[in-house]
Amino acid sequence: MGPPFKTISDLRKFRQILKKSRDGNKPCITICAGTGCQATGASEVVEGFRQQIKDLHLEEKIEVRASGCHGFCERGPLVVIRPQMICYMNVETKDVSQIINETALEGKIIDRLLYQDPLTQEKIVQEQDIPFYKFQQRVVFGSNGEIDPTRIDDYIAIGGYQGLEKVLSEMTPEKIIEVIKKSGLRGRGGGGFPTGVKWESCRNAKGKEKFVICNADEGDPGAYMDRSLLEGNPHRIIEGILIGAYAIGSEEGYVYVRNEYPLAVSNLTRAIDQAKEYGLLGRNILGSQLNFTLKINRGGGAFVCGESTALMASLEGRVGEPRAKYIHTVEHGLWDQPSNLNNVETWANIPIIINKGVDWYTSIGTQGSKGTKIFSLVGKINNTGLVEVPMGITLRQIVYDIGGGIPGGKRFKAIQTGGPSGGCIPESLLDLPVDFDRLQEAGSMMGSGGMIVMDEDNCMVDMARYFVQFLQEESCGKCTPCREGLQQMGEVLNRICEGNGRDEDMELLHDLSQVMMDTSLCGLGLTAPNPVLSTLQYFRDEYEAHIKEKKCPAKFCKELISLSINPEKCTGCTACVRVCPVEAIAGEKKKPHQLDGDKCVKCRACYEACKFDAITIQ
Amino acid sequence: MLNGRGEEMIVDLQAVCEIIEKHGYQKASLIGILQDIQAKMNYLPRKALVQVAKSLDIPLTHIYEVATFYKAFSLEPKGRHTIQVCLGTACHVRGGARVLNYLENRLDVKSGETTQNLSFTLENVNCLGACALGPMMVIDKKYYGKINPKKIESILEKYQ
Amino acid sequence: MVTLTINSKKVRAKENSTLLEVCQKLSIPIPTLCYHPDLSPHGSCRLCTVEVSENGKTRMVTACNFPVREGIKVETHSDKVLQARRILIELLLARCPRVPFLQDFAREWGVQKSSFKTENPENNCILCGLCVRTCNELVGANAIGFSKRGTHKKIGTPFEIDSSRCIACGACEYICPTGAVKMEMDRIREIKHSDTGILRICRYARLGLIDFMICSNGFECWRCEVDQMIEDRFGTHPVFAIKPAHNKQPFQVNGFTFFPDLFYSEEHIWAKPIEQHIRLGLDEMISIFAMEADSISLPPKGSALKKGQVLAEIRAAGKKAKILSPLAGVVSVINHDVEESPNLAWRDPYRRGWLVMIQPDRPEELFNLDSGEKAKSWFTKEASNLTTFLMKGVPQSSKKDRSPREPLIGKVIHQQWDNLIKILLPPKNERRGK
Repeated sequence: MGPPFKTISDLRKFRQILKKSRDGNKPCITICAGTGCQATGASEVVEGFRQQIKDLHLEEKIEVRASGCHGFCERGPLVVIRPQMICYMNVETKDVSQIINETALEGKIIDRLLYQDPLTQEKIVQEQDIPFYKFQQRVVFGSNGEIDPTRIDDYIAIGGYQGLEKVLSEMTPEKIIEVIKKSGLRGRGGGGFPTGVKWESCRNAKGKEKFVICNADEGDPGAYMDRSLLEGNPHRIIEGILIGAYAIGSEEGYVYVRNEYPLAVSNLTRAIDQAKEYGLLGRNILGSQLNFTLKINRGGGAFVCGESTALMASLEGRVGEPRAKYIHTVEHGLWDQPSNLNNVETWANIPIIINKGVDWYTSIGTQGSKGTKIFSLVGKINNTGLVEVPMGITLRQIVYDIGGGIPGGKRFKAIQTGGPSGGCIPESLLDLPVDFDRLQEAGSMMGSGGMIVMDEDNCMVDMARYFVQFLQEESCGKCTPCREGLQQMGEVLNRICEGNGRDEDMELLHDLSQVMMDTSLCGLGLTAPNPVLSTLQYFRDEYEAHIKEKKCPAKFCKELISLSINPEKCTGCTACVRVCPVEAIAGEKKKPHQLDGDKCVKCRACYEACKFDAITIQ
Repeated sequence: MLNGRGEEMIVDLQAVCEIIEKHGYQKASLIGILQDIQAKMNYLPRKALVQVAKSLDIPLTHIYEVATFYKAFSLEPKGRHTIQVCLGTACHVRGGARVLNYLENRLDVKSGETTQNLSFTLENVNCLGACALGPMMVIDKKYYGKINPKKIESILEKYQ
Repeated sequence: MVTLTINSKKVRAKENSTLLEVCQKLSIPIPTLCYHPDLSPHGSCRLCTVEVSENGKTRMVTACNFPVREGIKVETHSDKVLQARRILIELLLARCPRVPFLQDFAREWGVQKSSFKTENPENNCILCGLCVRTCNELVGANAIGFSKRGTHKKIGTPFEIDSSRCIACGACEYICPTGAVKMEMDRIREIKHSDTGILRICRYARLGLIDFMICSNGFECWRCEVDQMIEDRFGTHPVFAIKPAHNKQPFQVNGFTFFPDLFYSEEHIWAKPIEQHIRLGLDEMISIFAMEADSISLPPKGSALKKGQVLAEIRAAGKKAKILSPLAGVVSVINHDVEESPNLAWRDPYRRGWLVMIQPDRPEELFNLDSGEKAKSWFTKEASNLTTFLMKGVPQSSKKDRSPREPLIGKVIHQQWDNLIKILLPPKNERRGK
């Protein structure tokens, strides 16, 4: 009684058999094989485990599983050994045989691979006790570590596709929409529009056909949670989309995924093939009236395609130029038909809400923002990685309890949320509870979930310039305020950073911001001034220092600094000589070095390399 | 596209037709088709685009618009190795721009350009999702994390 | 009709009209640069921005593409609107500082100088896209388009080399407000010579305005009497008077979509030549058989299809419909999307839901099928018959809200299958004359 499954009960029986056949006590070595860990050599570690297990003929005794992203990218590659849930970090291929022999076979713990608490120096054995994980609530993201994303059976065995079974067997489309509305789920892509309301409008819209679309064009620089969900648990996304398709009355869906995410594309492609093979995509799914095909479209590399109308234009094979949304895409979207677009994380929430119910779901979060949110906590932070937290947690908890604070004893300066549409939040607002509305009140926004931490060495005018330059390249260039406005904003910010700022420049930035927010064609231009406005609001003194005193308080802006070596502090260790790319530093070992200011390109490599604080920036 | 000697480069139109066929001659697959041509030929030759226009019955103006709009496409041959410097926010706050700056000087090209000897194409990308490793760069899909100018030198040597 | 308030005055306007149209009728001056009544609204210059209040919320919208709605309140000259327009004009003036038209335009709207920096003082294109839309939507030549994005966005021909699709009609030059588009007579002569091999066909002949004329003036239209005559007659550039590409736009006939540039056969198959292939699909009427289809079987790739052989067999709930091929050829491409999802042929019959492509045995046979006016009269009659049948029993009151293409008809398809076959696919000898 294998696949394809013709009825719901066939699938249920199959799950029972799968569950029985899986021995919970069998040692299982799970290696995180998300892109972050792969970049630090996880593929080699996986290969090492597989090879040695094979060589030792231990295939029956020990399972090796390459799982999706566990989140703690800072310490990758991560390895978890079940059933004890022993968690090892920074594992290398040379550790493989020791892990097999000592931990997997004998249950012994290898001390040197454990997480060490930087404060207490205590070694922590289990994943859930590590502070990075302890304060999280991993509702959506948690199962990433439990399954091999390339095997549909793994997903089915942990209860996957039960949500689909439930809606097909006992819920009408209207009932599903009711549940999603009551759950209070809001779109995780940025705007936070209530998902159930969107579904209802799309269901009620008139059209020959309807589309459900998954926005996986995760474009915010510094945000990668959608990628990790697609890589780590693609079937949950498919299940969510199927439930949405049934609720909305759609027969065709698309996942629009960034081309820069090859692993996500391949895992999702495989998952779709498996779902087809199992009868979970196609015609008369599980014996129901539901027909549904799902296709993948790879994006062509354009940030603006995260905007719904641009994304749909791109799906039609056109350039990603947004159009006016006076007529909503739920009525006239892809191919001019009613279309419902949600992002990856939103879709991933759907099966959970259906399975666990509205009461459970609404118990998490705040009044206006229910459930959890995944953030990528990056930048100047000790524990870089993906964190899933209940809505309403404070920024301080995220930065200090989970993130472990700022490295190198530096001072926290700001946290940037919401990507290029968001803003920089200063230290004074660190106790702000994180939800859609509160972030917006603070002049930022939730966005897709990037949280970039900045310390005292980061210049806020430069940050504003960074986002404006980013958007200059990514604006589609159709409408005047966005195209010309960003160009002029960049111009003004450039001259401020270079020490040529004028007294009227801050007002000019305000005026430009206003016209862009008022008249831009799409969300990109409408929110583009946010990084500028929020830095103007919270870090006005830095702008003033640049303009009036021609100084960069963070000592970051190239044109406003000069580097020199303090001969009293320099020990002559040659660390700076070795890193200098332009050979501007000369000196013999154990003698103070000299820096040639004419050659220096102010790349700060020496500043960062010096362990004795001997490089001074003025 | 002319090669170094000013001759028109030979374009394998048969391969272009096979790619179009693989995509089922659907107009909506234009971007996918161009991606596959780009992957196969390392750029989008003019003749290939003219062929796509004919086979899909799409005006060349639309194809040219698409080919120049998306960052994934290049109308000029790319180098043997592609260096992508991440300029995501996390890498930026850790000095990604300085890395790009250094590479631009070192290779004597601007971001998006290819070196004279066709060895390297330098690009900047927006977040590759390996923020823990920032600043980082990718050469031909291999990730290099926590890089600085000196490290870059030793990495580049491997690709000479 | 809807009622709205513009600048505190109650106004009645036609449904689906845009705010700009309404304001223009009332002689309320609203600046525009990218708008033209004969072209689709682009909404890119943003100068026509006005303030609209609806349900207690006020926002800025562009009048050129905002459809009027019941009860909205519109402010066309509030301080906020004027300030936004002023900065937008300043931005454009910084982009193209030397364009006299733009300088006058700025003065007219109260802008003396721009506070922004000019990158390239030679630039005179404001990217309004009027030329591109004229070439695509009115001429139908698609010779020029946009390229690149953001601050690098440009207008031109593909690869910035002469376009063989350009018919040198000059409509782009005519419509360009800033003088950025210029006809280059030397280059036009070159294009004409290299294009189709037929030398020096008059641009009006290429537009279909006159049957045939060889140019005897070396393409110096200002020396041509015919040109002068035509311009005098229309009082505008002829492209804007005759709008040649409008004849190729699809339109609704008795509730079904008709494409003038497709070939239609009485088997209800449409055909379109694409390179050396011919693409075949179901027309929108016959596609209703696919609405609830369980499967559509297509001939295998590489098989020889004869005229009159089964091109597609649609099965639904034990019923069958066989649709015959109007042309002979070798099947070269199958649309697998339709095989996988049969009702795609109904959902989107002319775009994604085509059936196959064939290499025709005799390409000239395509012209035995009808297109344009001739096809339209056949299509109209067939559509009228089908609509009458489908609407039988539908109460008069709800008829006008109901399009025969809507899914609720799906319910009757199985019951009426045989009758529908009789109507749409009668045996050959019973067919109404085309």
